[in-house]
Amino acid sequence: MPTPRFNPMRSFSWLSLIGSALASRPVLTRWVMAGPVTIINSFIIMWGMTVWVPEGAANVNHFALPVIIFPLIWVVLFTYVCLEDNLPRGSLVMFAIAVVNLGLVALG
Amino acid sequence: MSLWLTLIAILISLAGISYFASTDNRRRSIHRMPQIERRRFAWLARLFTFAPGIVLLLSTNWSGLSIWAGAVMVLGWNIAALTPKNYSDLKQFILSSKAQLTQSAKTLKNRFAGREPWPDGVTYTLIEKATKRRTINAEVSQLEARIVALEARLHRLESEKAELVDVIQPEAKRTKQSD
Amino acid sequence: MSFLTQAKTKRIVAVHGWSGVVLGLLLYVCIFTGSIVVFQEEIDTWSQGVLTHNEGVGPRVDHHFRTAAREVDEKYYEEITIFGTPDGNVRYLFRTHVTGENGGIEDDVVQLTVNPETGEVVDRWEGEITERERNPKAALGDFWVDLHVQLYMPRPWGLIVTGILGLAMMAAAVTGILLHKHLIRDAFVAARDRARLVGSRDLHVLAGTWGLPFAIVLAFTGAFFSFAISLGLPVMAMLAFGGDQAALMEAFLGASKDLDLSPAPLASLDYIIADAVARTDSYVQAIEIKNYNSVSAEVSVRLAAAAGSLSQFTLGYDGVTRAFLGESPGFGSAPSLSDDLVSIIGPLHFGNFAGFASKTVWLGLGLAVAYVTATGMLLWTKRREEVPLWQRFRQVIIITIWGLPVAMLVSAVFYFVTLPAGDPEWWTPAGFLAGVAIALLVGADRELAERRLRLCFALLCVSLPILRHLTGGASWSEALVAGQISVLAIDILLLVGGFILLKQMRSGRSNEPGMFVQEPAE
Repeated sequence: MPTPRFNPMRSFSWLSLIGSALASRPVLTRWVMAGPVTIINSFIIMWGMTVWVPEGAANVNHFALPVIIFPLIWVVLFTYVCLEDNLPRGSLVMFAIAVVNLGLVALG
Repeated sequence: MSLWLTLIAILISLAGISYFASTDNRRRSIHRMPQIERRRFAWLARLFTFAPGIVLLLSTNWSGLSIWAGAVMVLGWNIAALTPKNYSDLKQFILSSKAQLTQSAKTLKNRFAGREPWPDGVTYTLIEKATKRRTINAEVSQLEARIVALEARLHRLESEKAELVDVIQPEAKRTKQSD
Repeated sequence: MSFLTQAKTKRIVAVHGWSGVVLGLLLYVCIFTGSIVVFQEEIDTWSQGVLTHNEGVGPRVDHHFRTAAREVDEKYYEEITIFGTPDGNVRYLFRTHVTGENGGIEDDVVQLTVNPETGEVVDRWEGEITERERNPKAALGDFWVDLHVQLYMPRPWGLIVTGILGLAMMAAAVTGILLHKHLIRDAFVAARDRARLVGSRDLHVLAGTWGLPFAIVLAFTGAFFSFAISLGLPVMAMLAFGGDQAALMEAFLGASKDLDLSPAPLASLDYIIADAVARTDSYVQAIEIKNYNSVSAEVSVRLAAAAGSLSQFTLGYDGVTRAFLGESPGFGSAPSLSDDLVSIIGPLHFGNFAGFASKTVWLGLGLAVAYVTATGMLLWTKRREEVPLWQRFRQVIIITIWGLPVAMLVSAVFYFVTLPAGDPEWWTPAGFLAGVAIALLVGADRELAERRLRLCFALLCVSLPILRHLTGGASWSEALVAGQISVLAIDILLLVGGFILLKQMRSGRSNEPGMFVQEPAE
């Protein structure tokens, strides 16, 4: 099955270089993404949630809820990575999730 | 109380699931059974399957709801996992054991009433032996009584005879007898 | 579902299959032991031959507690828990928090076991515990629980492994849904000829379909228990609290009020218990006292789940004025969504919210999920019948399926033999290893592995109640008189189960399929 060409921003040629590098080693890329990247990203999302989840009257929800739903976060990310056909796009999504959540932490 | 209600809820749902299982055309075709044109009681069965759960949910009986859901899933799986052959075997087994039970109850009744003989076998032989022993014992005691009577009569006759012998021929007769 | 392209399907099959093959054996061990230890309390009662009942905190607890507390150093007055033990005693756990070697918070404990009638201290134990109260007599139940919770590995590694198993189980469930396109359509398809591939597939798919919702619930709650303590909270402390676990704990327990530790007598516990029981239709499971004998003393009464509800709950009282403070949350200073969630995660995982009824259902659910795992692995090897390596793996699977129960029963044998004299805490795990060795030996023959292991299991089932009796365990009449049904129930279950298995094997039905496997017909 042909992989759709990844080229959202033609001017960023280095980006498409990374993209094609990822796409040329699909098995390795997927293993890395489904394994360590998913775990790390789950923790990053957990961290990011502490910023935007309301604390609640007891002042615990913002850090207790992320710990509770951690397995769910992981399973959603894992399933996404397994289903994504376009590896460069998948990597970008995972990268964006990390950046957005770390940004939230930095701002919060 | 609440546990009994949960049990009833589970049984109602299982009735619905059993209907679905028995009328499931895919299941029937795989196990080479005739197809069914349409499920006549599909809505009733759906009601049976899900209504108990909804009732438990609306009555906020959380523990009942959890037990119901868990039990329906485990037992529903068991209902679905048994093949039609398992079921017909089971039915056969129940029917045959029922027939067997009725038959043996009848025979037993007849035997106690003396209308039928006891067959050979450990239990029956024991009963027969006991009966026989009783009749033999009775006969023996009858005979023994007769023996006692006869012996008494013998003694009497002997003593009468001895008296007669003493008078007529005392010594010679006695030695001849003892030889 | 039909939106999957061929490439996606292939990938998902690989994920589902390989995760099952790599982690399936451990997963099976974890799930099977988990289903059994649903009945941990009953197993404890049975194995120890307990003839008394857990009477909760007992009568006149106030008087006995105060008397016993005088013998304990005041630094342990920080946190005290009072609860009944299965053998009819009452335990006082005096606790103070110390910073452990790795910067974590550990509990320094004085544990008193007290006769509830006379108030006499039966046992005194001091030390640091991070795990649970210590009781060598409960070695069998504890070992089986340990096997389930952390596969008998040291903390936190065992927890991390079981946490990963929980995640893998969730992933397997989700990919299983994606893979099986006709979940509803095939919900009633009983297995076709088991000797054929399609039959193996039917077995796995049908059990998976019905067991799916609870597999996800059990995996999620299990992963939570494994990860929250071993990984989630420490990582959260590292990320959001700069590595300060104490700060995290403080946030958890609510902003600490300024404590006034000047002495003040504690209000009557008897009064507080009576008040708590009068307010609810439940019974007391435990009492917790914070800052005993001080102005800031607080008393919490933990009550069993009320009828129709899942979770136990706690009522708070002022320790000096005995004023009712309302229902107190498990953590945090006020009720919260996360506290509500955590309070139902426990009952949903343990199935202990409605006594025997819910436990039986949870045992069934657990065994169903274990069955899904086992049949899944066997299906994988069935697909590769011509590859010798996979056939060897198939033998390993069968040895695991039957060897695990065999090894668990052998651990019970060792436990019963060493309970009167030796040290069951050491011998029970040793017995399990011996059982594993036995299973490996018995299952060495590929053709006969399942049959022999089953025979072995059946014989152990039948002999265990007898052994229990011979080693001085409670007799049936004693148990009946004492109203301890568990002792009878487990004995009878083992005997009946063992005899049924033996009878099945004797009556020439040995040629019929095993529960899992059928040897191909000649």
